[in-house]
Amino acid sequence: MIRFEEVTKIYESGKNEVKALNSVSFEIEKGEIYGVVGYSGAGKSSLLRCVNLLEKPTSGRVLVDGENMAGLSSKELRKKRKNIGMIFQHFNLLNAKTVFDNIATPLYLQGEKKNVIKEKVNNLLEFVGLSEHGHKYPDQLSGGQKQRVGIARALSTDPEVLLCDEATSALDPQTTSSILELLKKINKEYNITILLITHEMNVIREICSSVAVMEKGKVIEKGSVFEVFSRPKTETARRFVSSVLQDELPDSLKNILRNQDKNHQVFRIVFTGASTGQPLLSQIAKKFDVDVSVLYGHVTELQDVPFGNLVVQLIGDEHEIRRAVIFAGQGEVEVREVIEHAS
Amino acid sequence: MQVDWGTFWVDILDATGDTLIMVGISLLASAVIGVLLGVILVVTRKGHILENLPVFNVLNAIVNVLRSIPFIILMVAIIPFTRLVVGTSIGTAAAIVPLIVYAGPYIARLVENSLLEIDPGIVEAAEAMGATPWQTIFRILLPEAFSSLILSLTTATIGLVGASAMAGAVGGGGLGDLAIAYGYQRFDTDVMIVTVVLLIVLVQGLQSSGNVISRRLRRR
Ligand SMILES: Nc1ncnc2c1ncn2[C@@H]1O[C@H](COP(=O)(O)OP(=O)(O)O)[C@@H](O)[C@H]1O
Ligand SMILES: [Mg+2]
Repeated sequence: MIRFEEVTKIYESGKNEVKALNSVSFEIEKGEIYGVVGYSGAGKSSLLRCVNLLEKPTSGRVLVDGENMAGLSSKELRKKRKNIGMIFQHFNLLNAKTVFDNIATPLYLQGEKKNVIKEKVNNLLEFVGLSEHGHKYPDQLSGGQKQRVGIARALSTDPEVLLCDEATSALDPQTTSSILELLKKINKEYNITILLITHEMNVIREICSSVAVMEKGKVIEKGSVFEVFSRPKTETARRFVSSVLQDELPDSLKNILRNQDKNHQVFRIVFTGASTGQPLLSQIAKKFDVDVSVLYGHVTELQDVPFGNLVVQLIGDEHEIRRAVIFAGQGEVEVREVIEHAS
Repeated sequence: MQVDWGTFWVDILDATGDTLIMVGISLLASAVIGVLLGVILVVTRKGHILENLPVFNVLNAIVNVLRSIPFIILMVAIIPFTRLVVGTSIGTAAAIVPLIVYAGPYIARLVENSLLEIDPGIVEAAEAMGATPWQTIFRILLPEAFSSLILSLTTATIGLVGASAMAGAVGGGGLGDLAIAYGYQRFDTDVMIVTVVLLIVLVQGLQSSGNVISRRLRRR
């Protein structure tokens, strides 16, 4: 649905050049919720804005539904843009217009008939849960409500693609969740492809199916949310994953790590998928002559697949511990030794 | 020699009428010119929807030059132009020309400021919706700035009242003319006071109605 082909974006301001995007290539399938995560300045907004050509790529191409955006005439581009909705961190609503008129604006602009507009906007108001608020002005709404107006406005032209630029970054956690739920619903009910960018990994975890991690204008890692969360490859991705899974070891464990010896070894066990339900630890304790002590860990869900992360100490004979580890590391379970300074 | 107030109030009424006509006509014309220029000064600047730096730079320079000339000098300096346009350089009609040349660029700057106060994100949202530049200007930018434009026009109108009083000095008619002819040159303090009070009432009335209209438009 959206395809980035070696997209490079260079901003020139006087003598300074900023390479905001450096040969970015990846593809977003139709019907996906694709997340791009990265720290501030990584180039996420530039990437998003290249999709509807708010920024023109310096080189490379962006294809939406097979069409090269930069190859369109300005008239074709305006038409195409109606097929690509966009929502913003700061909502960008028209302050002098009512909620109803804000949502209707794209329809007014394309010369839609009054009665069509009325029906459509009322449906959208209901869909985003603002039926009672159509006559209000944006400054009478909460942040979450404003974003709902933004979403309804973006949907008014029946787009196939929705671009979200940090759409929840100005909202509190609870409101964020409700907006993310709404985006999920849009994706399911209208089969709209969603590309969202964020610096918050929990946004990715809550609704995305795929994720790309950006750093310094490059996509440094990409894959399904499950892959990246369970096996992050780069240090940056690992840090993002840690920020939501909280799998950094707490300080209180440092002592235990410092004092481990051949007969007291600490391991991190990562369960994914069906393996999460298995009674692995009790099996180890029964089959081998080792004691198992759980030091730290949690179980969560990624894309409706259970995902667990445990830090355990195995106490016993060195040889038995090794056998236990080999046994445990079969199938979908990953076992890594944990040593001080590294986790 | 004091004026005869029994008949003089007719003169005052006439002068007030002249002032209102001068201000009204020049306001209308300079508002049209000012809004047009102000919009062009916004949309042709770097990074905006109709970026065109040569146009921006030229207009910007012209506005700056006209804005930096004091009205009293402007009035004299453009007498040949005024004569060309209205056929005379004396009288109410002749005063209107320099008033427009004075207020047009002034309003342009005020409009420019009002439009620049709009969050660039809103323009971006309009672009993302597929709005044409024309639609962005008339359906998004101007309506968003409307209540602040009304305040700007109020300020400009009051500036015009002041300038029109000055125009009286070169025979432009109106309250300023009266104040100078009787109050200043003939030392008639009563006339002076009456005209000044009238000007104050006029300015106060304009400012208050501007505020009210602007607040109504903000609808909150
Ligand atoms: N219009 C612009 N002009 C110049 N530099 C820009 C512009 N927009 C973004 N940049 C620069 O490009 C880099 C990437 O910015 P951006 O795409 O906004 O990143 P992110 O959204 O990940 O924070 C930053 O260094 C930023 O300063
Ligand atoms: Mg950004």
